[in-house]
Formats: sequence, structure tokens, C-alpha cells
Amino acid sequence: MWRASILAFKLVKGRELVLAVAAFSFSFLFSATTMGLLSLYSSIATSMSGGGGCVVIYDFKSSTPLSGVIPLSTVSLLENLSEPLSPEVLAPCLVDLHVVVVRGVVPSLFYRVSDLKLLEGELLSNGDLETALVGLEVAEELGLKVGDEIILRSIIADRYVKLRVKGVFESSEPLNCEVITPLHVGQWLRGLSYSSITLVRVKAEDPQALSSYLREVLGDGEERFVEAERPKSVSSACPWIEVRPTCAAISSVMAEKFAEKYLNKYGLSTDSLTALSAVVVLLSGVAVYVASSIALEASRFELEVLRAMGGHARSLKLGFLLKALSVATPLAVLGSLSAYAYLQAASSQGFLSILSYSVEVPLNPLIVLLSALLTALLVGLSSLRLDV
Amino acid sequence: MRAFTRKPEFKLVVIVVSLLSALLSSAWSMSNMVYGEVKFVASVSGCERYLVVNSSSPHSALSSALLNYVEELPSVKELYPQCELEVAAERGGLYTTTLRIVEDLEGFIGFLCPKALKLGGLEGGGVVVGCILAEALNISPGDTLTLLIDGGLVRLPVTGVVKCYQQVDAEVLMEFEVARDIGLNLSVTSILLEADKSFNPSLVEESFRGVDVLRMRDVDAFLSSVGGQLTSIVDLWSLAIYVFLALAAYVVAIKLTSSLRYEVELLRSMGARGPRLVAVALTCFFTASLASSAFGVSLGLVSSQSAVTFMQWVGRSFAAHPHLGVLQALQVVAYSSASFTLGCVAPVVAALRRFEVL
Repeated sequence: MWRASILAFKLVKGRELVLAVAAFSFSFLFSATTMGLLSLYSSIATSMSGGGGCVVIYDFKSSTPLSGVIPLSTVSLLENLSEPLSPEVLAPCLVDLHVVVVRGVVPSLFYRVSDLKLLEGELLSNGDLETALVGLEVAEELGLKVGDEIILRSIIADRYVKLRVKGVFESSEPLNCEVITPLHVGQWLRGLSYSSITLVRVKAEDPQALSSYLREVLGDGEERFVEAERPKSVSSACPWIEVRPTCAAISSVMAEKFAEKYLNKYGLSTDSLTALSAVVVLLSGVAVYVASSIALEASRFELEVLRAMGGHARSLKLGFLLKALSVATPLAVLGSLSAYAYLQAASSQGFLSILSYSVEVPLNPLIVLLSALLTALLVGLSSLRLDV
Repeated sequence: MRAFTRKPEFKLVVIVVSLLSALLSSAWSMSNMVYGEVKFVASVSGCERYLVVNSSSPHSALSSALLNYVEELPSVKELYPQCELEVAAERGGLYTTTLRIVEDLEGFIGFLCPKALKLGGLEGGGVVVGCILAEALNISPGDTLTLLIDGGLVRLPVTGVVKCYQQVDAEVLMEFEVARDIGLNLSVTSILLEADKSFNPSLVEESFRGVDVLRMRDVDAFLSSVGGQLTSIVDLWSLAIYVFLALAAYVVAIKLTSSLRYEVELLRSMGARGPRLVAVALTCFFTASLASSAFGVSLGLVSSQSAVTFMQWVGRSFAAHPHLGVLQALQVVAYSSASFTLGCVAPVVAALRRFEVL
């Protein structure tokens, strides 16, 4: 009979609403914060690395991913590698008032490490002088099509470049948000000579192993002397390149971790983001706890009547808990999905972007599950206080 | 108000509003700090060089009236009208490039790059070729370059090769005089100029519709774009917090108002009517949330500054510090208290109906 009372137990009208509102709002805030922070972090961390599956060789002492400079002759140290590599220059620029990241590349080498799908026009070739490939997102944002002319104004150097759009491409990588130009155009816009680049990307089947190997070969950020040796793979495509003997602090890292070093410099690490999410959980959890207490207090009279009629305390507690969970848990899932929809809408409207990179917000089932579990935990904790 | 603050549930109002306002104010102050860091990294003084082009198409002709107007501006120190034509350079193969025609080639190269490397002379009735194009065409001073211009072939002597680390390195350069001699149809397509700080680009844009005056190394535009991106990210999160605050206020207000029956009856016996009681209750909630959010803003600022100070102790260095603008602080206080009060309206009205006051 009392087993039946578990299912028959009803929360007082109105108090269901309180619990539902609290569960929804807790889950919404928790999911919006966690999903937003994780998406931002992973977007920034992978944005300038050009995509996964690569190792990035970069200037260890640079303060931002865009300000690093390494000698082009570094490539000659890597020419015994069987893996394809691509020397590149990154330059932040303005097209009208939009910030875009320009990636200067040696086309024949770049295509071996990058995954591009040409949508319109033609790909760049090694002989191209004043043309550019435009990522789909940049093309859509700026309304560009093949044959259009764009004026790129450098942020770092006092110069501009007029280029003709040769093709529009789509990529599964963050390259979608970039403008790809010949290497020398990147060097102009970055204010470099023809002997310097920003980074080298090396495609690898096992990036972690290659990264460790390269750290042994190139050093791990220690200042070293790089001789003026012309890299054959680059000089055959770009005979005008220069090489100079230079001292440089070079290191290598997996592409996914490239920007993490710079984020950590500003205290943005996965640890600090977890701490922030935990603070949000604590603060917003108060609301669910209070709401459960309200529902509990409002149901106290009914529970006491049932107890006086011989109901077991454990059964009554369980009944209350099940009813509260049946209200709170679906609303927690709904809150989490609403947060996802909110962030998706913001991202599609362009409110979530860093430089020219838009922030992708994936639906993270773990966060949805976690928000439902946390809500259940808070409801459970408050029902423990039930004294019948 | 005193009856209100004496209730144990009042603590909930203070805790919820102040801690969420603290979160918001620390988020804003940290975003200001990140902006400050970006500003520091990009802290090169803006350049006073400008490019004047036709806004519809960068290769369209500019009017002579515009050229005269810009020339006569006292703030303009140096000015180079340019004519850019798309041509094909032929030598073994065809290379599509730009023929850039200027009045004073020597001065123009010096303006672009004072330390430009020059091979051969820049004058002498021929063309000057940029180093990248020269390498691609395997051409050097003294050779002859064949250009396909507007469907016609023109053969010209190469007088020099230049290396400026700029776009001219991939182009063919020529003086207006030479271009006129070979019968080219010329019109100015862009003006490159250097001006002092009194130069007002928007004045030129307003005087000549369809003209863009683009600043080189426009750090201000870059910072404003990055600042806008940071602001919109924090704004999105703030909106989620304000929504939560309104919903949390609903929960807290239900708990608090249910314990106010005695005080409400007392006020009614003193002659207070329904709407007035609603106003009194909402004023109490608003005042409490206003004070709590003001406290929360200070708390958030102190917390973020303490966190950054701690990070400096452990060896991190920062060019900027967390700070909050007056408007940002006021915005957090106003929006927090407003969203909290808004969330309280329904529970207050419902409670007063239950007490049969409304």
C-alpha cells in the first residue's frame, strides 16, 4: 500500500513550478557558462594552428601566436623528414573594418598539409603573385566572390596589399575563417623580410611522437643558432627567398595545443575555466536547493498526515524525492538545451568570434548529463533534510 | 523595510544578488584587462599614411577634383597619385601582374621603403621591375620586358630592379611620362599620402561621395573590433546571468513573501491598500538588490585584482590590470537590481492575492 503511496505522492500545486523554474535556470546558467567557455577555449586554442593532425614549429619567446618570427632556414633542418611540411606567415589585417587573419603559404607545400575543398574559382599556384584564396566564412561575411579585388591593410606594418580573389574554399579546419595568400604576400603584411616566417606546420600520423622528436632536434625553446641554408623545397617554388644566419628560440607543439601556451600566459587554462564553472555551479545551485526546500516545506503537512496514517518515513522521503526529480530533471535537460540554442543563435549571428575565427558551439552531451545530475544531486540533498 | 530585512530569507537576497554581481563585475574587469593586454601588444603608434580609393572598386578612376582637393590640404605632407593597370608580363610564360604608374618613381620607392635595394637605375625611359617578378621572369636591368596592356603588346627596356618587401616587389613600375609616350590611357586609381595628425579622413569622404580614405596600420580600428568581440562575449554571458537572476528572484521571493503575512496584515490595518503594498514590497526588493549588487561589484573587482596580484606573485607578468569603467559598474548594478526586482513581481502579486489584499 505504501509502495503505491510513493507514486501517488503529489507536490503542492505552484511548488512544482518553483522547482521547475529553479532547475531550468540552474541548468541554463551552468550549461551556458560551461559550453560557452569550453567552445571559446577550444576555438582559440586551435584557431591559428591551421587544424589538427599537425605539429607546429614556432617562436618559443613570442607573446602571441601572430607575433612569432622564426628563420625560414629552419625548414632546411627538417628536410630529412618524410612528413609533409608547410612554412607559413600569419598576419592580422583589416578588410574595410573587419579583422581577418592572412596566412601566407607556399601553395604546393600547403596543400599537402591542409584539407581544402575548392567551392569556386581556382587554387593558388606557386607562380601566383597578387592573388588570394578566401575561406568560406570570410567570403560570406565580406560578400566576396571570385574576381573581386580586396584591399588588405596590415595591423603590424604600415602597408597595404591589393589582391584579386582567385578562389573560395571550404575546410573542416579553422582555415575557413582565413585568407590564404602566397608566402611573400604574408611576409609583406607581417612586415617581414623574405628570410622569416611565423611557423612551420608538419603533418603527422602521430603528432605527439613527432612533436617530441622535433623538440629533440630543434630544441625546446632554447636559443640556438640557425645557419643560412636555403631550404630546397621552398626555394624551388619561391626562388626569391633569402636566408640569413640567425639565433632563434624554436620549439614544437601539437597543433591543438598551439595557442594554449599563449592562453595560459593570461591565466586562461582549463583549470581556471573549471574553477569558474564550479563557482557558477555553487552560486546557481543555491536556487535549486532553496526551491527544493520550499517544495519540501509546502508538502510537510501532507507528509505528516501520511506518516500519521502509518506510512514509512523512508517511503515518504522516496516519494517526495521521486516526484521532485520527475519535475526537476526534465527541466534541467531543457535548460541545458536552451543554453545550447542560445549560444548557437549567438554564434550564427556573429556575436561569438575571436579575430576572424567564429566560435563553434557543439552540443556537449556530457554537459547536459552533468547539469541533470547536479540538479538531481541538489534536489536529493534538500530532501535529506525532510524529517517525517 | 526593517520587517523585511529581519526575515532570515533576506540573507538569500543578499547572497544571490551580491555573488552574481561579483561574478559579472569580475568578468567585465578581466575582459578590460585582456583588452588592455591586446592594446599593449598592438601598442605601435598609428601611422599617418592613407590610401584614397574608389569605394565601389579599388581599380576605378578617381576624379581630378578629388586629387586637387587632397593636394591642397595643408595637413597633407607627401602625396603619390597612382594609376594601376592589370597587365601580363611575357618572357617564356605569362605572369599576370600590376603595372603601377607614378609621377616620381625615385621619390615613390623612397617613400615606400627608405632602405629599398635597387639594382640599376630608376629613371631612363623604361620600366622598373620588382625583385619577385624579376626572379620569376629571370629578368635583370638592361633586358627588354614585353607587356600585354589592353590587348596590345608593348616592349620596354628594364632600367632597374627593386626590393622593398612590399607589393611593388611583384609589380612593374613606370613613370607617367613614359606611359604617356607609349600612348596609354591614364587615370588616377588611388592616392597614397602621408599627412600630419590634423588630417581628417572623414572630411574627404564626406566631400567626395564614393571615396574611401583607408588608414595604414589602423590600430584603432583593430582594437575597436577586438574590443567589440570581447564585449559581445561578456554581454552574452551577462544576459544569461540576468535571466538566471530574474528566475532566482522568483524562487527567493516566493520563500520570502510566504513569511510576510503578519507584516502585511499589520500594514493593511494601518490603512495601506493593495497597490501600495505591492509598491512597498517591490521597493524593498529593489533597495535590497541595489545595495547587494553594489556590494557585489566591489567584491568582484577586489577578487579579480587579488587573483591577478597572486598570479604576479607566482611569476606571471601583465601589462594591464583588471579595472571597471564607471558605466560598466553602473550597468551591472542597474541591470542586476532591475532583473531581480522583475523576477519578484509575480510572487509578490501572488502572495498579496493569497493574503486577500489584492
